[in-house]
Amino acid sequence: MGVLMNTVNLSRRGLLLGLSTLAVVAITGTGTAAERTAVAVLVSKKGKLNELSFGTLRRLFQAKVVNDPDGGRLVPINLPAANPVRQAFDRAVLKMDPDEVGRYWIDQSIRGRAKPPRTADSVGAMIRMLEKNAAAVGYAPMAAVTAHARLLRVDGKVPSDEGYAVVA
Amino acid sequence: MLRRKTGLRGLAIVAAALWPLPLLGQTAAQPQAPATATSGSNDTPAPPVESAPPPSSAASTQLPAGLPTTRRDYMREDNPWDTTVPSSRAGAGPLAESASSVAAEPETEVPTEPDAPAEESESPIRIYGFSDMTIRHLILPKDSPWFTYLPRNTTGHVGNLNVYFDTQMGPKWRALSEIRFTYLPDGAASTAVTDGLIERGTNQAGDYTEFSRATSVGGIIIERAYLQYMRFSWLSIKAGQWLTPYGVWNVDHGSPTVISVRSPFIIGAELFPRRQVGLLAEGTIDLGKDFELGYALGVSNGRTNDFSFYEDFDANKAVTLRSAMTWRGMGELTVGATAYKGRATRASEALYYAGTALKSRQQIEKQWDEVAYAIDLRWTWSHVHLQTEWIMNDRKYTDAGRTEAANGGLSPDRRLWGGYALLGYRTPWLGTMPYFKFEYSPEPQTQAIGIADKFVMYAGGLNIRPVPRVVFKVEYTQAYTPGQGSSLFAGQTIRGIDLQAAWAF
Repeated sequence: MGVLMNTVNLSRRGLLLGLSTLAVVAITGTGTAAERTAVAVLVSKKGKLNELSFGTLRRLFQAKVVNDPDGGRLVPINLPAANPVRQAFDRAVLKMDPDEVGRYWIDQSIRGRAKPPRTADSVGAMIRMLEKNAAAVGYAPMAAVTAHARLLRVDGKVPSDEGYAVVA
Repeated sequence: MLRRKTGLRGLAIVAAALWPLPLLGQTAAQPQAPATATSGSNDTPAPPVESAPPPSSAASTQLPAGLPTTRRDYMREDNPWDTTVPSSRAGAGPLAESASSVAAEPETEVPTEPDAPAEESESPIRIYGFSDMTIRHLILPKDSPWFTYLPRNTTGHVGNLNVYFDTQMGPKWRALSEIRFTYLPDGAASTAVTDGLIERGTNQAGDYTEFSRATSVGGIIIERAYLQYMRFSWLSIKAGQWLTPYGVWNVDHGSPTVISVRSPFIIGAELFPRRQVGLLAEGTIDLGKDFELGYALGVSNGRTNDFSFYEDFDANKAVTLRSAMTWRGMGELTVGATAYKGRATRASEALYYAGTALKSRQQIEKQWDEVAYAIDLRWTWSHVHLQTEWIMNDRKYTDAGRTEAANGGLSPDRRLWGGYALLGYRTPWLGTMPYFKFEYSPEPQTQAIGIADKFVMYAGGLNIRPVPRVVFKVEYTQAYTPGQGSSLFAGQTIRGIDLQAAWAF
């Protein structure tokens, strides 16, 4: 059958097949998580920041300059790359899986752009950083949130709200 | 359906934003108060953690599988899911939950000022870089004239060894230097063809530590060296030597970062100067959830690479202007436009007497005014990667600076243009990306000596990135020089295979 098919038809069909395969792979490659994970964004109790837009939060964790209400520079704090909460946060905010995040920061350093955010070794260390640094912004699962930090609204919502954006 | 509508609307907005973009003389992106500065404040405080409402649904706050579920577990330094507990504190035991005990913990890694060094022992300077090794095999007849410029035999070379010195000197101050170490000028082929003989120079010296044996000595190229002041997201200022921020490739430039083995001819042709010395203001402005406007405005000495001069030989400062819109509605799409205007001058100084007084005057050897325009697009969506750049350069010689051409006449004013497009798809298998690249480009160097005006080039290959810091590339290239008659190399096709390993350190 394939032998009888003329060249033009074969090439068109091949092209369509290739493009449709590409589209299917591209769509499924984004992942459709059956379980959704909300990550709480936290700030220091000393700071005045109460809310960020989702876009600003993404820019902050891309290590771009973001200022607090007083004009000071906010300091993003990450968890280690292997940490599942960090990976969930990266998926939700940066829209990247761990490999993409790794490539992203290597490429950014070669471009001469900002270095990655500082990393706290654990959620406990992150909470302590938030306690000490009024400009720090971090994140943690709701179960790990303590009285030593404040929840930050993202697009006006906290994790318990419907439509909260930091969900992977 | 909604996503499709959003996508089309986003594309329309990007197109509308860039359509009226003046390429030169007007700044499309005027600095303004950053959205982030105001969006960061809100009169309605978020609820304190203690009073935060309980999760309304288990689905919205569910933790990843395997994670601890209690606050105490997370606060433990030795919690089982965290693999990076510092050894210095190993065995310190779980932290108590009370504020007093938390405050009693060592503060060495808790910065109290933004961007302050985290620890006393932490160096404020970071040293990193990239390097690559390439093996090139050309598939050409043994008597091909291209062997005057390209390696006759299968050969390997270390092409780049670039080292960065990156210093954060305070919350808003940063210095970055990038140095490329190179074997050049040792063994460099002559770039002029006068009698059909291409010779290679040597740069050897007797090494006094080795019985004065001849040792090849290489050199360095200062890729960039600048001081940067970062005050707002919409304003950062660089003073020094910087890479001209046009398009994609010139700033990406590092072999682990760029996808193909070679840089496109249009980038090597330097229709924009690769780097400039002067001041550069840059910034981005948040235009809502999915849009971001970026700009760059530079004032510099102008083109230096043709003459390798660090000094401006004319009073005409060069201006670079760039504007780019990024849309994140469907992956990340950036569309940019850049313009450059400047004067390039080669000159010497001569002494003369006016009566008995000693004077000096400048003698122009070569001088032209130029305007260059570039448009670029880069789109990454899921695992698809598309980037393209198209550049045009108009050069007009001044009366004093028009030089003699290779044919004995005067060098004409000229317009050069070209570009490339690259499409790739990153698969999950070892981060492998098959890609295809098309190029159409002038080649000023071969043009100047009358052997080839332009190149048309196709390349396809694999970019394999098993870990973020290591990249392997395999690339097949086929190129030819269109045109007849005046171009001596017209019709000569080049085919070759490149293997490259690139790594970041």
